[in-house]
Amino acid sequence: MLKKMKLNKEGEMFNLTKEWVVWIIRAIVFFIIASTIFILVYISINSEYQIGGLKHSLLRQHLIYDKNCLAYENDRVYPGIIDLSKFTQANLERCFESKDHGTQINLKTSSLNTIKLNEKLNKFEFCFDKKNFYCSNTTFYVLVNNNGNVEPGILNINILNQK
Amino acid sequence: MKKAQEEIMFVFSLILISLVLTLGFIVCSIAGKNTIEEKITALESNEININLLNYLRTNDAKTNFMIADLITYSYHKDNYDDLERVTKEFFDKYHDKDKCQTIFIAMFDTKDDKKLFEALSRGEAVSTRDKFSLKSTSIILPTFDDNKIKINYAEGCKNE
Repeated sequence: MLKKMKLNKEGEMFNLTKEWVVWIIRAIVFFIIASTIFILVYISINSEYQIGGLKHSLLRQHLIYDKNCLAYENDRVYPGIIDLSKFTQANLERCFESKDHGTQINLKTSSLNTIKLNEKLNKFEFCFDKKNFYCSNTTFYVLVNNNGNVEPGILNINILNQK
Repeated sequence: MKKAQEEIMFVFSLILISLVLTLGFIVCSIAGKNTIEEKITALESNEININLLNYLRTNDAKTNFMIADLITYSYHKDNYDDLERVTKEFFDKYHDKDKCQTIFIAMFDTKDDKKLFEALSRGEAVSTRDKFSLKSTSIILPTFDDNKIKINYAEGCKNE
């Protein structure tokens, strides 16, 4: 009887240890699955589509392609050819409608012309604060039409907006 | 004995739940600091087309040809000296060497992929911390012998 009890006790001890091992394996598997789900869910929730660059690109192309902005027009619009008579503060303020974007446009031919739009956003050195502002600086090789006389030039468009 | 076993399991499951919650907290705090940015730049790469288009439309005062015509003319003459000169003038005018590491123009005969002309302008050495993006575009010009010339244009500039 005593011998049987001893055996039972040993058997129970063995069972307990075996169950512990199984539980530890289950816990590890559960831990891995839970952490994978956490990471996948959190990454997909926390990813952010940054469309600042896209907005700037659209604004730049609006300036270059639109006949109401800078594009030269003679029966048809010539994208990439700048009409110098349209490079005025009044015309660009009319065509560039965004109030949230500060813009500085430099047109360099034989002389350098600069126009600033929404000047309250870029009255200091352009894009001095890259932490709080999203900035872009793009340069184009353009042809400038000055009353029928076409000459090559460099059009530099700086745009910034608050993040 | 069974009761003791259940108690151990209960304690063990409590530990497991707290571990999972701690993991969740760690993941949230780490991922919260590193927001993943998905940038949409497809439209930006279109902008380089303007540069190639205007390069081809530029008039050469010496030959009185547009560069697009000069390419065809050079192809038929098999002499690219004038094209080399005007391309150099284009690089001198347009290439901002502090901003762009490289501007590259190459022309190929589409019939046999033979390289007809190649020009490269290198910028100043820049820090490896600056992020560069290579944008490229191409266009095909017809020739008088019913052949085609493919023009590849690429710019490697700093992302600003």
